[in-house]
Amino acid sequence: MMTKLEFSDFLLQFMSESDWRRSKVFFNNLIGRRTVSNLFWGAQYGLLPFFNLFKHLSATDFQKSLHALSQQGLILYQDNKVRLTKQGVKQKQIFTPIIALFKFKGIGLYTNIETVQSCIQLAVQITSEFAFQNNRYYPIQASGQIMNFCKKWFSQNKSRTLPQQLEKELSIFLAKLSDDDANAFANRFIGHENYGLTDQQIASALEISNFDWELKKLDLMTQFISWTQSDSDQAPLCAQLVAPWLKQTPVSMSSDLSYQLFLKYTNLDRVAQLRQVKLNTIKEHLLEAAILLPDFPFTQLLPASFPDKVLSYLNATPPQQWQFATVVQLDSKISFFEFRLLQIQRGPISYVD
Amino acid sequence: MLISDSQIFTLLREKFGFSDFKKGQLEVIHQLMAAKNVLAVLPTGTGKSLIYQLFSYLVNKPIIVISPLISLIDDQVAGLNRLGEKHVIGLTSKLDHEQRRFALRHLNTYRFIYLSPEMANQPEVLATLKKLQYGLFVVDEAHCLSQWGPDFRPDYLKLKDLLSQLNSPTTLMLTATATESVRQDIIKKMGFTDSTVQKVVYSVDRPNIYLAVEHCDTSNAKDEKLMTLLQTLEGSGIIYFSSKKKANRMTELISQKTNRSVAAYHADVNLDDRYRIQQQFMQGRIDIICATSAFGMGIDKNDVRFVIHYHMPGNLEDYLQEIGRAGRDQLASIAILLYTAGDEYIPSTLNLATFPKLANIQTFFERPESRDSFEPDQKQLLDFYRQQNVSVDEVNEIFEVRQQAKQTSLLQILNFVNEEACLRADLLAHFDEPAPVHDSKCCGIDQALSAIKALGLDTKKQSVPPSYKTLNLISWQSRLTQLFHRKNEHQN
Ligand SMILES: [Zn+2]
Repeated sequence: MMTKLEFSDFLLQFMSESDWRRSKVFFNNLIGRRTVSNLFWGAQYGLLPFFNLFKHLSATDFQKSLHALSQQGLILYQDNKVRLTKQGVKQKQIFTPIIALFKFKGIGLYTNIETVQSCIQLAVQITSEFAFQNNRYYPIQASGQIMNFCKKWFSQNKSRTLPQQLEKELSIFLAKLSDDDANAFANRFIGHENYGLTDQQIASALEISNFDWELKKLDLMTQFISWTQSDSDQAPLCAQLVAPWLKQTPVSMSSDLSYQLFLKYTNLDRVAQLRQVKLNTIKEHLLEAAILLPDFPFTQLLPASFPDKVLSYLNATPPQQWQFATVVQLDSKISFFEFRLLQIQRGPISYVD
Repeated sequence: MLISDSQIFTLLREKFGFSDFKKGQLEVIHQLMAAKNVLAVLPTGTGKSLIYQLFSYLVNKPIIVISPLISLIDDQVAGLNRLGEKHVIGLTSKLDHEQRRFALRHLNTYRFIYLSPEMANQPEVLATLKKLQYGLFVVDEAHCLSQWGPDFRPDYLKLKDLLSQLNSPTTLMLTATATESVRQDIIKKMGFTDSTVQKVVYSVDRPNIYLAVEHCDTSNAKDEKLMTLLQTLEGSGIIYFSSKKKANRMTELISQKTNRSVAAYHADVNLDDRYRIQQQFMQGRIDIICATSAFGMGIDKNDVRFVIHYHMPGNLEDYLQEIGRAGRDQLASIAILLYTAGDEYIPSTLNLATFPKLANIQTFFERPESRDSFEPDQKQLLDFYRQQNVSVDEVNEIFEVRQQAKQTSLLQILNFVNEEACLRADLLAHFDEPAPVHDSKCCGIDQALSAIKALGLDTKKQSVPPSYKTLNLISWQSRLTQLFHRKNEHQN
């Protein structure tokens, strides 16, 4: 019998045998807590593709998974830090190829995938009930914001042919998927007198673990979202449901604003003045941009050269293990901002895998 | 108010689709029409919310409803939406800033305003609430007002002030379970006197529900007993657990060991799945739900035939409430409580964790930076008392009294579990009601299996499991057809 993918196996993917890693960083990235420190270490640990995809993960459940891994001898877990054992490395490798199949591309940096999902579900339900000319039904529960959004979508598109149009759009998407994937996606829909299958029911129909289905579901939603972007002329109804929730940049709105101003004026103090915030805040904003954007102009912010002592230390040590305290001793002029920028520039950054 | 009963019955038919009232409903409506404040104690399943919902169409002024749980509010809002009523708002912490602002700006357009008590404490909300004239002020689950009851909510104590700030509209206090002392306490805590409140009190008894307690020697024996019961019982049922984890594990076990379709239902289940489970349960596609006691459930299914407590609840009020989901169609049903010695420690440990110790209260009051490290429930509770300028010692005393009250409640249900005579007499005595006549349809101890057969609640041979139980995904093409085509459009 094949071993089924569980959440703890997923966690192993971000751990290493060679260094201790902070478990808080794992948790904060999975639930989508956006701070420079989280993003920086999240990038180092390979967590960014999964950023913000597990909003409902509770700290208790997360801790429990780590304790379980430690009890099975797969990891060492102390002082909120984790490290793989030899046995853990083996266990990690079993699932690495499976996890690699999921291509989330850091979708959680651009949107809250759950919001988009609720909108699709609700829009399908409203349209289905409309097709059956029924206006007395229990709507799926969602936040008031989503409810209002979907009502507006419906009243803008309401016509006799709406159900057929939406069906056609969904067919185009579903036809692109494998049969299993398309069936699973479509069986989640809730409509007139037919309420679809629960996650548990779909997982057991597909004979996979609940967690595996959870990842699969996120993956299908990610594919759906990118499809509405690339084929928006073929699928105007779906595109309308997705686009308003999608940012054009992985950087937060505030950071992006600072970054755009910096590109224009190339002067940090000027940006701080314009935005009426502290210089340090602007630096944080730029660090976020440096972590998340591929073409960040590092050279504009870094000194043209460093003393030889510093360079030889940096070249001899992997960026993840650089110590600011050591660098400062070698060159008292270097700031933490510059240190971190350099670390980002030289470090392994990839969330768009 | 000059409205005839025939107009009321027309409303009942047209808005709610019923031809007759359940007991107590019309009587309360009459009192409210005479502008009397009412405390109504009506058994579960008698449609308490219909009273004020129907009344709102008589007064045509907004109605404010205080409800303790967000999940209850959501259910009510969804229920009204289903009836075609769109002018409903649930003012809860679930709304984000933007939505809340929108709701407050349009507050006068709503017919029903549901509110959690902590919401009413927010200055901005209160200021807006004060601008309207209300047709009725409803306190749902009014027993939460009483410190003598097990479900006490300190923020309910502020309702008295809220009521007077809203110009004291006619008030309806609703509950399904309240002992005489709790009733008195509710009236007092709302700032009324005995003579200014009409009491409409019906027996909490549900005679069509057979009460059973089964004593099991070990937890394994309990699991086996549960499986046997589920193989014997016919129809839909709910099983209550004290933890989500146990509910999940037993859901798995039940689906492996019986041919019944079963789903876990609790706070960890996502909203869409809760919806699917509710609807599938209503349709009979899922026949057993494994739920946690602490979790409100918007299931208004009339033909639930059995409720099983895998763990006993912490008090008789909750027990009554939970078994009340069975037999709303008035047909024979059964409530079975499974007990293994030591079970009482499960809810009691939960209870002990609820109240902070003196040292922790001190820390909370004296060191603001510590506050975020408290559990959300505790933090809310402690914040409430701190804002009320209650001293550390007084808070500690309040908690000790509450702790005592919880322990007492637990002992009462434990006495019920260990009762050797009539269970119903024991239960009703707690609510100050006289003992009923015990007969073969009343109750039994350690004889659930024979009772099930005697009541005709056992499976009638049908040995072939219905085909829907083997789960298959429908092809996506057929699924889309199901969703978007009326049958007469597509004949093939
Ligand atoms: Zn009896």
